[in-house]
Amino acid sequence: MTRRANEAVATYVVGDIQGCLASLRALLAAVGFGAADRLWCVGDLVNRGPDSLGTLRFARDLGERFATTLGNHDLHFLAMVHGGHPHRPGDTLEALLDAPDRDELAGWLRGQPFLLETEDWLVVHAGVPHVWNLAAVRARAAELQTAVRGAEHPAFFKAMYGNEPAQWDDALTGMARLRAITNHLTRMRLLDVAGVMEFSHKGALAEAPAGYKPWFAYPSRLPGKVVFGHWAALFGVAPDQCHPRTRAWGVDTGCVWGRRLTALRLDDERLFSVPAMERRAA
Amino acid sequence: MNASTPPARRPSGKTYLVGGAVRDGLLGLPVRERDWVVVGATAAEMLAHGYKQVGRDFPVFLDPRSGEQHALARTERKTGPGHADFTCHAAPSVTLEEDLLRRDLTINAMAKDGDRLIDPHGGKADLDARLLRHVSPAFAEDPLRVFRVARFAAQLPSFRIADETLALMASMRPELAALSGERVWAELAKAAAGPAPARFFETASALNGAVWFEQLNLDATVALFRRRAFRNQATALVAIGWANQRDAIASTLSRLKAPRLTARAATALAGHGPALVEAETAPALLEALAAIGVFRPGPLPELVFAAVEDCAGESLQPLRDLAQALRRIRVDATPGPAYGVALRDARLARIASWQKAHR
Repeated sequence: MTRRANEAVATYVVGDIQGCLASLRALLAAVGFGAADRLWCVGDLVNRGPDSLGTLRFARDLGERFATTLGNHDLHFLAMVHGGHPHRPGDTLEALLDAPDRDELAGWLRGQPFLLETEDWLVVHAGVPHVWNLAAVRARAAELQTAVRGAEHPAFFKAMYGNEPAQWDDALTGMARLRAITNHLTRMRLLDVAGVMEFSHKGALAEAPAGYKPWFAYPSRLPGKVVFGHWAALFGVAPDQCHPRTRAWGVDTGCVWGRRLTALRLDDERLFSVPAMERRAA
Repeated sequence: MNASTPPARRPSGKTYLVGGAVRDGLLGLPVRERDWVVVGATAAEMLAHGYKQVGRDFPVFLDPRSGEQHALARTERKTGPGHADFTCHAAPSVTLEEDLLRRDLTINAMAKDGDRLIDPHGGKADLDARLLRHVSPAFAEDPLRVFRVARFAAQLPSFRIADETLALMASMRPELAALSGERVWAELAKAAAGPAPARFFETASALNGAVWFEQLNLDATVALFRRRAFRNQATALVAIGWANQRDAIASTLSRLKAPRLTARAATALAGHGPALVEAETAPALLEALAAIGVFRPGPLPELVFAAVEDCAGESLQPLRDLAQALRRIRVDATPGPAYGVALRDARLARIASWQKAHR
């Protein structure tokens, strides 16, 4: 594809791809993704969809033009490779786990961050809790990234799973602290006003348990805007659905569930959306 | 195609791939249908070779084997104000370049002979520069092209409309009223299925409503389409009602001859969509549910629910469940006026308890 004339490089942030490479290709063709444009993802590149292996190879081959924040499904894949975690029902990671370049791809994925930033934007997988400010989210994402990248990563992946701690506390240390950061950045949907997370609810807001609200319904302490994924049931979130002091765009529109793949162009805050291309399992 | 159809021999003319297939191929987009131009042949020859003529007035034929459209190379001249008022000149002497010259945008005026690109109007350069640019001043002879360009802006969101093309489109305003509503609607419907439907309305807005959309609140419509993704073409079209006044949407869709279900759903959305999400009293919610047809058979309520979900970004499943429960309510009352009162009271009671739990 040729580079657009008269236009600066664009940055597209795409929602959860989850192995839906055909939809990703359709979306990139539809937006006229240029040879110098950047593609960022909110995470969950893999799992549930048909082509996790192809998606990782495609993303890696974009080189410097691609970056993603790590999502819970990405961590699950890494925990299977590095932490000995078993296959779970619904996983579609076999081809990826059996691939000759599995370790190379896992190594590349493990190098991705938990937070992407521009001057005006933060990109995270699940969200930023209202109890964190910019310095906090930066520091905690960096802590987690150090654990995932570092030599002790097998120990992290072995102990990564668990709903506790469900509330942030600056005094947390060790694995409990890393698990709390993981839960906030990659699994959070609902919290109560004190910041206690609720993990069982994945559906619509109208059915949320009493006392809990989505993280973006609280006033943000961040100076900029946030792009996130992770919550397909909402079919996207726009700033007018957030607390007036929170400017967040949710770009997970449930591609892997046969709905749509959506990207936000950061430069002019435009949404682009294509129907899922994957044939759905009956 | 029926496998028993005898293979037709090729007519004597030369055949070129043209239009959208050439454009989408160069853009890496999926090619949905392929159109061909035949140069140096006559209609009689085409028919003799087994091609079937599509319309009476245009030299357009279907290939009985592939089902693909083959048109004789032609030039066109405008004879009246509408979209269909043309005389068409097709003859073996019309060249490919002349045929490409009558087309709307440079990116649609390229042809392919096998792998060879034939591009007399700079279509490839405009494609690389992501420009929607008219081929020649003859663009202005077909007012439907104003809405085709708006539709291309929605389907090809990385392209911008060339300044001189937008100026030409603005100058075509006096011709727009003569268009048929159905043709304008068809362009809007295609735009609604594209990756960025907002751009159709942005283009209309840049043309002060382009006659057909001037009753709409285009700023609100653009804002809605810029912040939401729609699950499908149907909810995207109905969603126009969310951003507009009831009378404005009803009148606009009626002039566009929109399909009845779409028009009813969009009008219902304009009148009652907000109440479905935030009605505070039981009578207000009952009125909204009744108005969207919850107590009548048919697809209207579900289409409205889906469109409201896409507009508001929130599931209405609890409301669907409520509607289902309300439909099942039967009352033990004497037929007659008392029955209606009792039924209404029972429905209101059910809604009130639902509102206590959900709102």
